[in-house]
Amino acid sequence: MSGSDTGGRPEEGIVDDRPSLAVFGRTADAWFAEHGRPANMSLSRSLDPAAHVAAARKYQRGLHDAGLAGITWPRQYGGLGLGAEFQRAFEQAARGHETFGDVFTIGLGMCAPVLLALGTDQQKRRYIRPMLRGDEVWCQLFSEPGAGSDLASLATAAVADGDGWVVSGQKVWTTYAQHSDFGLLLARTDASVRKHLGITMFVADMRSAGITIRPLRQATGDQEFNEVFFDDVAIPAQNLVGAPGNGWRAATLMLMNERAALAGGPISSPVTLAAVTELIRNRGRQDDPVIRMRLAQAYVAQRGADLFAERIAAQVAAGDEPGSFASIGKLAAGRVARQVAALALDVAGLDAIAWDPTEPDGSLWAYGELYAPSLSIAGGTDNIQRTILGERVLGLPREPQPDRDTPFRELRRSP
Amino acid sequence: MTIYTEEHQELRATVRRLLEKSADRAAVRATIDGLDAYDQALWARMSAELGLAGLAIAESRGGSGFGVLELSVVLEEIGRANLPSPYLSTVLAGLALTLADADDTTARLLSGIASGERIAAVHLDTGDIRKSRGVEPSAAGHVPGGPIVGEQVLNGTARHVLDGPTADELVLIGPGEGSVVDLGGDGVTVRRLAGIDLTRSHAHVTFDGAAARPITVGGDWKDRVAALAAVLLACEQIGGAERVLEISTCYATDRIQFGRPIGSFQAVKHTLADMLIELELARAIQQDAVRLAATGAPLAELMAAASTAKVACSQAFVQLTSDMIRVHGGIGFTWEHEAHLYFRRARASARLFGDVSAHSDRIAAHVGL
Ligand SMILES: Cc1cc2nc3c(=O)[nH]c(=O)nc-3n(C[C@H](O)[C@H](O)[C@H](O)COP(=O)(O)OP(=O)(O)OC[C@H]3O[C@@H](n4cnc5c(N)ncnc54)[C@H](O)[C@@H]3O)c2cc1C
Repeated sequence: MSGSDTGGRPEEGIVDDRPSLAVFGRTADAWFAEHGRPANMSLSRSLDPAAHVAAARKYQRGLHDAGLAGITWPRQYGGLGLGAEFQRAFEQAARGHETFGDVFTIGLGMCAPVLLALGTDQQKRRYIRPMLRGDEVWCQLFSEPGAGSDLASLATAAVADGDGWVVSGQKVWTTYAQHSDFGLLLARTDASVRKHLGITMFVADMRSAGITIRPLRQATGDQEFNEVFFDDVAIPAQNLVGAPGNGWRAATLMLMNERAALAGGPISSPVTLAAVTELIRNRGRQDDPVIRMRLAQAYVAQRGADLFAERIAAQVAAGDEPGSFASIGKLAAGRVARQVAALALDVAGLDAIAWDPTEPDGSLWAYGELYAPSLSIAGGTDNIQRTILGERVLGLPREPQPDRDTPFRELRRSP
Repeated sequence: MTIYTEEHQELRATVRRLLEKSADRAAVRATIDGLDAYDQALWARMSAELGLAGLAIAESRGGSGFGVLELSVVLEEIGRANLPSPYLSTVLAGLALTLADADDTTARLLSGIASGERIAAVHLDTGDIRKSRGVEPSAAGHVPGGPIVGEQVLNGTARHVLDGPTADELVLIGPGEGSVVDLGGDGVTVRRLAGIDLTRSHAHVTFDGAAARPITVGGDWKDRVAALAAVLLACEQIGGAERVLEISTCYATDRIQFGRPIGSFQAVKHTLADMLIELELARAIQQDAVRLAATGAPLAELMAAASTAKVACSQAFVQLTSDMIRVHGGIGFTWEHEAHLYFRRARASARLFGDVSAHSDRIAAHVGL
């Protein structure tokens, strides 16, 4: 998102009917009071995923129709063209409510900023508004079996064919591919140059002929991520995002936004600090000094993560790239999730190990603990984030990279 | 979303320039090695010339009428320089007196602080000090020069008073009551202590019939001052931690082993990244606490934010300084290197104005236990 697109200035030819901050805040509060449902019902997504996604679409549609979606985005593409302070007012109103971050963060928080920054006018007109309305859900087609941390070594190939492209290869760990309408895809368009240079980004229509989506079962038991196979999938030229060979720049921008989004914690732990506090009281452990200390430590960690995320969110809402600095927030969110989940597990005791299946509460604590490790992997592992911070924020010398200047087709790759 | 304006950045630049010039490593070392607890010439420049001691004191008392936001900038810079200075105590006393400012005693000391003539310390742990009323000079039992009517008679000991050896006046902060003692007065003995932190001085101050001037304070005065103390100290801790990371990053970039800078080894790089994470998460919390303290937030909210900041910044500063020593290897463990000076200050700061467990307990209560 470039600053000039997202600033609070009226745009030519559009009547300036934008609300005042106070009116906007009241609208948001009123909307959540009427339509909001409490957060921490994340378990619903594993119980009936289709119903969960349907509820998410309905929620986003409601937001859009109430004038609460795309707050800082340009008006000509369906956004509201408002300033960062409106985004903050919205977040205030949304606090404590289910916002379906698991369904929408990839689209609204990651794909949209890339399309707004690098997409053609036609792409922005076609994709942004339906995304804001919850009509179209997006996924991220980056990781492959042989390319995770080393994303630039990806092998899915796109070959020019007449006007368009033909794609073959395999993606993996693609969250919500089975519920998605579109995805941003990275593919190799030139294997004769070094790995970062031969990559191109496309919009992939998930209903294209030749795409096969196979859900994978996660450690929690849920089926959120998938394998996605591309067998000679035709992609029209107009779906190219940026220029051929410029995909790495687009990918970096998307990953930056991913870290900023994950820092905000919309898809962080299903177990909240408030829930653990209540659990401690219900179990009569509130006077146990060890438990008090651990809760305080978790609170301090949570405050640090929240306040840091606010800082990053303000930066993004103001139209700045979140930058490598946002990795701090992603690491913090993972750390808090582990800390809170472990505390809940310890306080719940045997009830978190074995529970009566008719009591919905029992499984939540176990679920939180099982879920927590994913936050240290998805969006770039903790090690990768630390390397980013060390090299791009602190400016430390890079590690020797023996493969950096080797043409892709000569690289040693994972079997 | 910074809490600072351009003017604050200018203030920061001014203070940093001064301290880089007048309080570099060698200067700090000279202060420590000498018998002085602080550099008096530098103090005169900071307080009298630049008006830093009176930043948060009202203009009617000779200050410049700013507040906690401006103090936080100066304290961060003092933390960076690891400066031995009675600044923290003095400005904290200034804030405490400003909250209670109603009479001649507070007015006089505030003017003295603002002009740089008086150094003040605060004492928040007044349980062991007995107070009684002064008597007419003509009454039986009056000691010549001792407390008279309107004054209090003090007996007992204020232990571990921060900046006690250098302070001219001590503000005793009790629950719902306060008083000011001239540390140069009769019946006051100041015993300087040895300590882990070579950049700070402490004293046991014994009162044997010493005179104190009572001041009128609100019921929540002590809680508010204690919260402000934690917030101000957190600013110093953040400044120190920030500088410790800079020094360590520099060293890891310059030091070569196995033919490469040690900062290119992932174990070292990730240690430094972890230091950055600790620093920035603590800073986010500290900035929030500063903002609340500067805007006169409700006491409960301020106390919670202050305790959170004190815990976060104490832990971060200790962690960063101990990592600093390890990143430096052998040189980091020498007396000559500054790493142990920061490490010592971090350890001592973590204990001042309530330790991690005391503040954690308060946080647990705030969260709902
Ligand atoms: C829940 C979940 C959802 C996901 N959703 C998506 C999605 O929607 N779209 C998508 O494209 N991807 C998605 N991913 C994939 C994710 O981005 C990758 O799993 C991640 O980047 C790590 O890649 P990898 O699994 O291949 O592990 P590897 O890269 O093989 O890493 C294995 C281990 O080696 C370490 N390692 C690797 N290289 C280095 C190095 N240079 N220095 C130090 N340590 C190193 C890693 O830190 C890790 O500990 C998801 C993952 C999870 C867990």
